[in-house]
Amino acid sequence: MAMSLPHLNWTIKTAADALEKKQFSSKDLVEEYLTNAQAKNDDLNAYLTFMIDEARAAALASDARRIRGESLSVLDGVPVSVKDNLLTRGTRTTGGSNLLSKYIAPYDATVITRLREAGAVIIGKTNLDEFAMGGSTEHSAYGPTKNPLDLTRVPGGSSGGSAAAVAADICVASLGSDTGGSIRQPASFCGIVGFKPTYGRVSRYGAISMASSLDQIGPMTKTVEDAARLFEIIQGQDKHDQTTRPTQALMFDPDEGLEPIKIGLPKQAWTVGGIQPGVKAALEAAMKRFATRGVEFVEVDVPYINEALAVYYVLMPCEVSSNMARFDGVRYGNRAPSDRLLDLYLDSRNKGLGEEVRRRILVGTYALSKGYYDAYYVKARQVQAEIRRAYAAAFKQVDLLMTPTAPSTAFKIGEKVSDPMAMYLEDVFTVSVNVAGLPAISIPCGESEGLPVGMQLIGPEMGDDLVLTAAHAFEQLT
Amino acid sequence: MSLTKEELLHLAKLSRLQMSEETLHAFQPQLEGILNYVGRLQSVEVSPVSGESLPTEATVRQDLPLQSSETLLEELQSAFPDRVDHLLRVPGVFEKPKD
Repeated sequence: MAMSLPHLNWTIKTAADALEKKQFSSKDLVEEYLTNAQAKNDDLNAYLTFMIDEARAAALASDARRIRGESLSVLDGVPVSVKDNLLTRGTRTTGGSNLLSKYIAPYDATVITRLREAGAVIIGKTNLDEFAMGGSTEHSAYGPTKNPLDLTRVPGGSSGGSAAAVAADICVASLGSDTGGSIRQPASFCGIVGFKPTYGRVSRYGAISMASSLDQIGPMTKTVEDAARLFEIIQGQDKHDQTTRPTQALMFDPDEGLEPIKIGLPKQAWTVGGIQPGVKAALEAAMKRFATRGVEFVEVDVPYINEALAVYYVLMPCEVSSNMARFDGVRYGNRAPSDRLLDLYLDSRNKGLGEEVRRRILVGTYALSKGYYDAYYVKARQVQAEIRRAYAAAFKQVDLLMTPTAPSTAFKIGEKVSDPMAMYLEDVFTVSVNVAGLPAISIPCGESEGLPVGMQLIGPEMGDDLVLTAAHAFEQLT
Repeated sequence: MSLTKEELLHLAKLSRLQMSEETLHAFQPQLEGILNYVGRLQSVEVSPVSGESLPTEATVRQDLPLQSSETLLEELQSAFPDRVDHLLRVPGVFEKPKD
């Protein structure tokens, strides 16, 4: 007879432990999460699709494996959610877009395959800004997700559904995607952990591309240790994604202390206007705590990173305008019936694509057009190279860099939705990391007026291990 | 940086997007704002040799057919917005389709 589940709030670690000790079955755990998730989703709109039958079958299979002593990983039997821009065979994948409201993918994304191979129980697909374009989840065709800590506020975005689901404990952990901050900023707004790995460590095969040279999938979890465990499972080279790097084992031991390290504070980031005083105060208090663990903080000069937002808002729309060309109503997705091919494209895209997506397509088309290509795209690539060099030079002086994850805490729903530039400025601390392909994590470090504040730790290329190890050490202090 | 109504309509045409008068009105200042912001890159000095290459060792897989199955075929075809048996149906490419 399984024990009842007196409280939820399970992490991957505690759930794996309890399952291992047979305190309850995966079936019990999954049912509990499904019930709770469905009940809370009316308010939160964190999930777009529940995978009830699949989840139940996966939980039973997991329990059977456990009885045979053949459990696959720490994730075996653990209920997780995934952002709805990750293809799941046999289950609807919308990308948060009207155009794909009925789309059933014929294959699994590589990260989904790896979750399944690890025995994870995927209970549903989470809400996002349409095709991951946005910083608040308000640009979803299926309505905004609410921040579980304050329902009048946004959860951040674009992985807002995943962040809200983890924060509200309607899944144990989740996968998001991050092109300019879409894992880290919602993690910051919802008070959870969000990790964007080095570009190329996680396969993008089967993730609906937004800006292919910047997109990266990563874990959104309740603890840093969970993020490391989930990252370990999804990472590695994939023959279906030629931008993945040769697999490198993760060196992360939660029981090992942190060696003395030096963390740089990029002066270009810290002197930028617009950081809320409460956010700054929370970060400064966090630094004092961190310093007690032998961490030394120094100011560093990272030239060009103030240009990263402009670089991002050229390169990203260029890639978006190209990637979105596939959504034409011809081979899949919703088609607006028409006798003329051109009208078919126009009507299908018009009915299918939302405003933010269209804005970015237009900006990208402009920046790539004849006469403007050199001034915008080529110049942005040159400045991108300078940003990479500036980061590489900084990491010769320090082990990690630290900034706030976002300049503010979670803002009100509707506050920025009609002002694209104001929304874009939310990404000011996160985009340079994607532009340089680096690993970075957002971890909760305090509060400002009752809302969580996130601290961003940035590592050198392939320095994912140190980012996680340092974040874990900080988490132990709080 | 200014973006005229005509330029915006031309971009929409190139992007295969329709543009209502209302959208045009809303987008014009928004896109101008974005282009003005990113225009700051023009004045950034870059080192003369700043060619950019992706740091990854590309692993190009061979273009071999993957294993398929009747089920997969059916799944792919059922994603077609319009089909005739196993074929994807599209309107004629030419302006005046034959009867």
